[in-house]
Amino acid sequence: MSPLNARRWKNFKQNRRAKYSLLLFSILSLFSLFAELIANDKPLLIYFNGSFYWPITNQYSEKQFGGEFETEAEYRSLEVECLIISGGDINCLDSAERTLNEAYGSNLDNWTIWPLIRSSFNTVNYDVDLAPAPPDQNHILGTDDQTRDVAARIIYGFRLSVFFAFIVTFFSTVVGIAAGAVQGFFGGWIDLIFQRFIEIWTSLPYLYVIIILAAIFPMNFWLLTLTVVLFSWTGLVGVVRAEFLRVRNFEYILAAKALGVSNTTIIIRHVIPNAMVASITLLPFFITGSISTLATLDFLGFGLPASYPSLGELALQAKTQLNSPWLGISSFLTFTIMLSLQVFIFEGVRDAFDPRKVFQ
Amino acid sequence: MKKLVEIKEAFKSFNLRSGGKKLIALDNVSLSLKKGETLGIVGESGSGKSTLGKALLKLLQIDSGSIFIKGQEVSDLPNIEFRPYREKIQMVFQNPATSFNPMLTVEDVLLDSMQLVIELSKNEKRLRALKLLQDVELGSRFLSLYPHEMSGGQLQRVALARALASNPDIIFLDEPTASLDMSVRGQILTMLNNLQKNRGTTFIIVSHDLRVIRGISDRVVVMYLGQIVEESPVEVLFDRPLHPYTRALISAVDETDSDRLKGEAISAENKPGCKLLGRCQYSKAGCEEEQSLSMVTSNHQVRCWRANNIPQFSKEKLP
Repeated sequence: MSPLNARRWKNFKQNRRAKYSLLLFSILSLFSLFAELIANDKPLLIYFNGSFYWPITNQYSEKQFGGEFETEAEYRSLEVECLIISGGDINCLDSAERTLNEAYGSNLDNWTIWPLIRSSFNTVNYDVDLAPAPPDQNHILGTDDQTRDVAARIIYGFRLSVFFAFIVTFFSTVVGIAAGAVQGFFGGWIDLIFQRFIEIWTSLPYLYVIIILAAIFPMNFWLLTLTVVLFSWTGLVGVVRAEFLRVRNFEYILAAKALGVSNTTIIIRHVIPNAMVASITLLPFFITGSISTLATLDFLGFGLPASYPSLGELALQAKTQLNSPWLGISSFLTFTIMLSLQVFIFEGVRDAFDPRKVFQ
Repeated sequence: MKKLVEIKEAFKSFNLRSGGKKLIALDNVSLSLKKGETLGIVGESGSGKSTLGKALLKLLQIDSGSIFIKGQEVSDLPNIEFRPYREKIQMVFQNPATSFNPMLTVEDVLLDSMQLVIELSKNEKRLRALKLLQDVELGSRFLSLYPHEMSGGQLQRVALARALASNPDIIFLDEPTASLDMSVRGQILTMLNNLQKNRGTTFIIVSHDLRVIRGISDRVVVMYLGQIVEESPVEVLFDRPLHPYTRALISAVDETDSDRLKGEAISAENKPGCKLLGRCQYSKAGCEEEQSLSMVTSNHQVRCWRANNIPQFSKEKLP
């Protein structure tokens, strides 16, 4: 780490709110990154008749556990649980509950390890009578109107939102800085034409474009990412362009030119780092903005298909199912925590990048 | 002695946004410089002093004319072929606040400026940076400081160290003391004098402050709206200024009104005749004719046809 970055890191750590936000956000992101190990409708590990089974990575048919079907085992069903514990007793298929109790009583040492939440984001729980079901010991945050576990959907939805936000922000930033740099550094006609193009481009109503695109192509994650990037990169151009226009006439640029430094080196070493502070000021708005965009599109039904775990869709359900407050409270809290943590972190980053800011 | 720099009939104009007018920044400027001498350039804002410096460093391309460095014509050289000359000639800028990248420490700045001296190892460069700081009378603790942590005077010293880093023959100082307060101004000038004694570097100092010019230069060039109006050794100029503009500058220092000019500088339209016409109290019919720089004595030239006919400059008014 260069001395400058070391200093920035030190400055960042001085800001305790940002530091603890980063810590908490990292923990949450790390957990959600391994969402499959936390919320899944398959066990992590099965010990069955002397050998180990890994259902999350491998597919096992019910027949392998002594059942009848060639299809993948329904681990959540009582029959399959009974088959595994009893070591493949065929009686499980007729009277599962009784055989299971007998099997627990015997000294067979078959066992299963389940994730913390026994359903994935798309697992439908047929045991629930009335959906959405309030929180109970099976579903700590209740279920939604299709009896899917809210907690599992939040964990997967968090991951999707953060992933989406970072990808959109990354690409918008790269495109925005490049476009702003070209306009600001060269100026003149390039600048003039590019600016008019951006004015026309930003006046396109992006919601309509997305609705039209969704009507033509089957919407998926990458298409949505591309569309949102197409309409969000312009946000950074103005700031970067202004910064370049300001910086390019400073005497330290002339001093570098007097030393025979090339244009590329001048842009990379002298102009971009100084334009970064202004760009970083905008980053939190980009990240929170992309999360909100995704949620809005999902809420309106134009976003990701229903097969994706989406926080926006949860919010929509909360609106239609006002008598099930656990939906609204969960989605509200998730958004609040996620967006606040990010705003706190990037506030700290912005301050740490500002060389004029004095830290104690 | 051999001529280090020679500028011949340099001409540079800028297009103005409105109405296709042109602003003439350098109008037929010729001057030459010997090794080890200090040339002062005086003139008010907009007289083309900084343009001259930028043209010399090839930060600007002159429209016509030629610039010779050590006998080699450089104004037509493409940038890549000019590179070897860059280490010979460096510049110190007017405003220390904007002449440093706020993201880089003094050490970064000095190491960057040594990139022209490629044969040094990293350690040698660091030692050299320390040595340069000593030369400009700053301690080693400054290496790790950022520009905003230093005062204007300290920054100007670092700017000088940066210019010295490639061991140049010529340093162009563009108003080096303009943004500094009086006490610091004196220290910087003393330091410049010492540096010149020790290193034999040639300085071109641009200033609108005559006291600075008087204290440090060997020879003075007075510029007005892109033209050289008077040139002479420093003692001669202050002893017997001939051009009304020079006289106005000198008498402005001690606030005597005898040679005051009327109004402000008129924009440099391309009209023949004396550019001072309309401001000068000695103007007469004939001043609207083209004026040429003519020798008064062997080392004193002036661009005024009435130079010997106007009343003598009263010397006791000098500071």
